[in-house]
Amino acid sequence: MDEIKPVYDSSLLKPSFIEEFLCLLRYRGLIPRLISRIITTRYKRSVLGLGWTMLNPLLTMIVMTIVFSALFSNSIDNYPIYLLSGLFTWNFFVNSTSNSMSEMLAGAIMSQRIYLPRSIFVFAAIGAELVNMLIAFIPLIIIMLFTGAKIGPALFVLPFSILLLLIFASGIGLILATIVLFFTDIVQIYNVLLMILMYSSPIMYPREIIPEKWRVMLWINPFTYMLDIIRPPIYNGIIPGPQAFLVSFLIAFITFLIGWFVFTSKVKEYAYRS
Amino acid sequence: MHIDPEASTTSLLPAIELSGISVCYRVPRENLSSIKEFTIKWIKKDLKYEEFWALKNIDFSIFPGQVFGILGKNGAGKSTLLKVLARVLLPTSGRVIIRGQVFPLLELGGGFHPDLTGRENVFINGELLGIPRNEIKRRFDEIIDFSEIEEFIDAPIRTYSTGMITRLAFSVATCKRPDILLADEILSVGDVAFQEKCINRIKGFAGNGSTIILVSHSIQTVRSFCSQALWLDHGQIKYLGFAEDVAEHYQNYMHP
Repeated sequence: MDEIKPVYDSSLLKPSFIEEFLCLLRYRGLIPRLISRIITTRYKRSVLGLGWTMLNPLLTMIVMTIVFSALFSNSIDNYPIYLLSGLFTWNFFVNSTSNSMSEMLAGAIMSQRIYLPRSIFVFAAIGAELVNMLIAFIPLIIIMLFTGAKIGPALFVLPFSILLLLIFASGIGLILATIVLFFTDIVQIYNVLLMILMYSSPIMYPREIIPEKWRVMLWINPFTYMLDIIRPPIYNGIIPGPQAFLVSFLIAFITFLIGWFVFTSKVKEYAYRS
Repeated sequence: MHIDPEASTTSLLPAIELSGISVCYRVPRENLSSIKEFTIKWIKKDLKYEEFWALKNIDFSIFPGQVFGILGKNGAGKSTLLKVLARVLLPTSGRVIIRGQVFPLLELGGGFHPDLTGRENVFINGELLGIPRNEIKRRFDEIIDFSEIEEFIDAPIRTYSTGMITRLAFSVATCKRPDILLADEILSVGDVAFQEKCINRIKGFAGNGSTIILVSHSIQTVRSFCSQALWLDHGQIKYLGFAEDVAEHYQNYMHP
């Protein structure tokens, strides 16, 4: 009885952007495992465990609301929800992209020895953060109820908005994960870039406070477009128009494709580095 | 000897076929691990690379059921060769054909997470090696039995001794008869009794048609376990043939 064995022939390999995709398909069952590993190890040694994910937005809201309400309360109704819906989106983006780098570094040891699609570590990092985001949604809904925000059918478009955000973050995560294998100081550089990005995005402040001549800063900022499809359903109960979705869709997919090609063209070289 | 019904019968095709394998590392002259340094060097056009051929024109085949030893000094290219066999590194030139699933047994416990329990690590490590979850479930008791750490299986790995980690990692990686097993200095770890168990298990695999590749510094190990062997020196094959002969030549070279 001769079982059919998988055959690997290095001369028959497809281009790496296809090869990586096929390999990822074969190992897709591993992604949920890695996600649950990330989540369990993150909370294993803390007393409050997953409670942190819930408490964090509450505490942030209290602090930020006290600090900024005096500034913006006249220009924005229900500032806590305006702020939280922004932070909800922002935190996902920051954590998922930063964790892409740390998971990639942690996984590098493994993938130097065992054949794995290396992008699996990026997708696991993004996926773990998605779980976190969904948990953080619970306190957000509670605060919405308390502050009398509109909870309506517009919320049903959120899964689609979040999917686009996920694709966008994956693209950035793939680029960062590629760079971090070669230059570890990207972690510090990225933190600085994030700070610039955060202050140039209308997360804490209304976009109207940006003077007309500086508005271009919001237009060239891809994160603004992500906010445009996530905040309105939460904050005003409005479904974003098709144009907003189209722009976000294009940004997300182009970013992802760039990330995928950068990653697959460079990541194989890493085995040559150590 | 117990014969595994899943074992493939004598197949004429080699499990591993390497033809004209060369691997060239292009290493920067200085260690450039920060973007700042890299950019400065790049602007000054001061980026210098050195080429280093870790493997040069390697040709050999290994057939199913063989226990194949790889001998060589540090830096001879053994690790690079293992990476090529583990499919982690694509050679600069040449062709590799591997028939069957490769199980690497390198640096045991590398895939374990210190904060997770032994049980959790068994599952995640098994899946990283490509064993389906339900298969690990089915073989779980067997894995624990073999590793002899039953009482500690629900304690975090960080509380384990090195010996315990090694035993657990070996048990997971060998819970299923592999098509091809890559073992790097595996026989130098653990206590004598456990080593014996490992050796028997590996020999059993080979008897059932698995291909075993054993990397070692020890001439004795290669002599006593391997049928065929290869002596690597400066990235090239110095001698290839029956383990006995290769060990003989290597011994004469090392201790004339």
